[in-house]
Amino acid sequence: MNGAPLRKRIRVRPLLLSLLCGWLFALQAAILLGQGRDDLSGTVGDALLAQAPEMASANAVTTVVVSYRGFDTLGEVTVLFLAATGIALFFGAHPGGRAAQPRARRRPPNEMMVTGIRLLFPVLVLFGVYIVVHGHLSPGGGFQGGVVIATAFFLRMLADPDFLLDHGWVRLLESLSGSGFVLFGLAGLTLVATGTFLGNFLPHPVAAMGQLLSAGVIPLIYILVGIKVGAEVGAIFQDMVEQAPEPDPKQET
Amino acid sequence: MALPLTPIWFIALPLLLAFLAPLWARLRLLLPLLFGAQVVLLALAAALVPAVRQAPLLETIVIAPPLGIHLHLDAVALLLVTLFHGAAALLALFVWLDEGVAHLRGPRPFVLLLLLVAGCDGMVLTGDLFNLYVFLEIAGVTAYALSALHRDRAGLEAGLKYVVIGSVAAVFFLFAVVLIYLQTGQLNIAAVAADFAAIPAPMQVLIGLSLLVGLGIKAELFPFNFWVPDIYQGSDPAVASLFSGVLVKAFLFVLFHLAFLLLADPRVAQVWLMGLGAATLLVAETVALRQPDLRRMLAYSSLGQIGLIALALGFTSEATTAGALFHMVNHTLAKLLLFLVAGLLIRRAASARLEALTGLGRQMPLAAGLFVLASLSVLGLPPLAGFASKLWILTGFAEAQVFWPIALILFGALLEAGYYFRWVKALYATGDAPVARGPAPAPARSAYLPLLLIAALLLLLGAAPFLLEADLVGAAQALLDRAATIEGVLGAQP
Repeated sequence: MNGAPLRKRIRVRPLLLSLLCGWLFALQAAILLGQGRDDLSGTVGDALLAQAPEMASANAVTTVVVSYRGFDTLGEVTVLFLAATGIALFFGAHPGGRAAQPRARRRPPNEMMVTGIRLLFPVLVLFGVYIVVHGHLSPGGGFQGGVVIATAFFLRMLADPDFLLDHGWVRLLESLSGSGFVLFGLAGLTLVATGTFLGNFLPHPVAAMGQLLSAGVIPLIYILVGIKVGAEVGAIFQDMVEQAPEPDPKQET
Repeated sequence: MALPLTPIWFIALPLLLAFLAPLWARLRLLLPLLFGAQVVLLALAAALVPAVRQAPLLETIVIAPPLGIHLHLDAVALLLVTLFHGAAALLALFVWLDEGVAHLRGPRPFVLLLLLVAGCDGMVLTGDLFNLYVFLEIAGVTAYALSALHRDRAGLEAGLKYVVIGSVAAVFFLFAVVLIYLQTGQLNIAAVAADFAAIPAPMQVLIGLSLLVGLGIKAELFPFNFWVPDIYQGSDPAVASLFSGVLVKAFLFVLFHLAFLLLADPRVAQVWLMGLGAATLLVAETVALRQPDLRRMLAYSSLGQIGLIALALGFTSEATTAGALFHMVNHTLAKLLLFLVAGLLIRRAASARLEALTGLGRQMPLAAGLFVLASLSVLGLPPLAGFASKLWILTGFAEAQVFWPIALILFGALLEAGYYFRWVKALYATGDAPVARGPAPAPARSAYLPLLLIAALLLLLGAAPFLLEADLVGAAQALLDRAATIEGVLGAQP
């Protein structure tokens, strides 16, 4: 086709590298799949599931994620927060920096998309809220619902080039929900009834299992996680979409 | 409602402060809080010392250890946490007092610096494998962002390289965690350690190698540390001082902690760990001889010291382990001082090349003097802390009648003398330098306060190593005593 010799068209080293990666992946898959077949009993997972009803959350997975291993969840939320901070650092507006060159304006989105998103937006937000609030009852929860809500706002950004989230509000939500999570944890630590970080200090009668108001702090923490995840992911979308604005003297670094 | 003083504060307080960063930015409290938080946590560590001397503190989070997550504060964890917060407090004080490091003073660097130390604390404290992975990610992600803070070409290259290599390391570690869970059904490190011997031998090797590669990359051991000098060169010297002083120490601890706990007989890993340490020491010190860039030279010197620490820790005798822990402390202090002074020198000369720094010692006598002092401590000259810890390690090897590490360490010190004196000679060289000096003014006098504090600590620890001796021996015993750790968590003899 083109005149380039074969060794230039086919890069050998990337090929070898991808073969190596493929082989490693196959090896890993073989090991892990082989493991899965003989079902392991007596794991921590089984023990946790057996113990889960004490927290009165109908969704046992949520009990494990938010309560028993809530410390991991706090860590994961922090990782997401750090990722959003890092992305804001590199993609976000450069205050007073040299990179503030306005890109060419995108073409306006077509009518189908605008109308479709206008119809979809409230449904998506409602759906996201539902997933967050019912995290302790049905599959889903703060992470999933938060991302659904952020996606709704991302669609708005696509449909309307002038639509932007208010950075101040996003940051406020982020701070309040994140510190709220830590404060819930500390409240569990300081109250005598629980005495451990992230302890479930609100009443959680097993009789109420399956109702919206049940499981003590679990739904409250999951709502905070939902707000935080939604705000972080929304901020990440925004940082990537945003047409680098003029340097704003008020904005801090 | 009293606030109980428990280890969770080492993690909860930085998280709380970091999430509220916009508020502190508005109140203009960022720098005082960055410093204050480290001082408060340092005081907390000091307050916990008497309790930990009695018995290790186990803090349950939600449900009790074999099932849930717990924090395990024993003598060695307390030593490292104290070291991390001490180093971070000194760095925060430097950032506060020195006007020159403008890009380290905003809310985002505030968040990143706080959480880097919190992530390292978490890695040292946690008693749960998956929780360890979470903290490894927290420390990792902060480190990626911090290394690219400059947003210039070198900084972005460093950040990108760090993201790629760090993610590879994290995947290896996660793979090992998955395999361990599939094999034992446990995530608590002590419970895994009790069951580890029951895993089939080939699987043990696979898990061990995955852990070794993953943590070897993170802890900058020899075949996996090719990326390190680029990162240290591209990031700000103040950030590099934290990488070398805090981050690597946390990863080294995790590597050796897991090796000592999982293996009933640590001699299985001894060959590997000592071999990697020796290779790291030898290669890094040799390469450091010819570096034309101050930051690269310091990076290779840091690698050499990491190799020395790994060599001494890998030997698993009480004397070398205690010496290695002491050397960790001294190396953190010395490298903190070296990198911060290097930052001042580089800013003044607007370059990190050897030629550009020639003769600078006459313009900045105090900075150059501190550089010499820290170099001498790294070499291990008598009145300084580095001498005491190296002597301890050498005595430990000599008592065990093993002599090749002694020869290697002394040879390494010879090489160190070679390249540090090359730079010191350049700093004090007469004859004016050929390049024009940068326009940067001399740093504020108060910026030297934290540097002088570090120098005083180096002198104090060198003159009176017995101050820390009992704690270091206790820490070494805690690190090596596998049965006691497992029993402490599971409440029964394994």
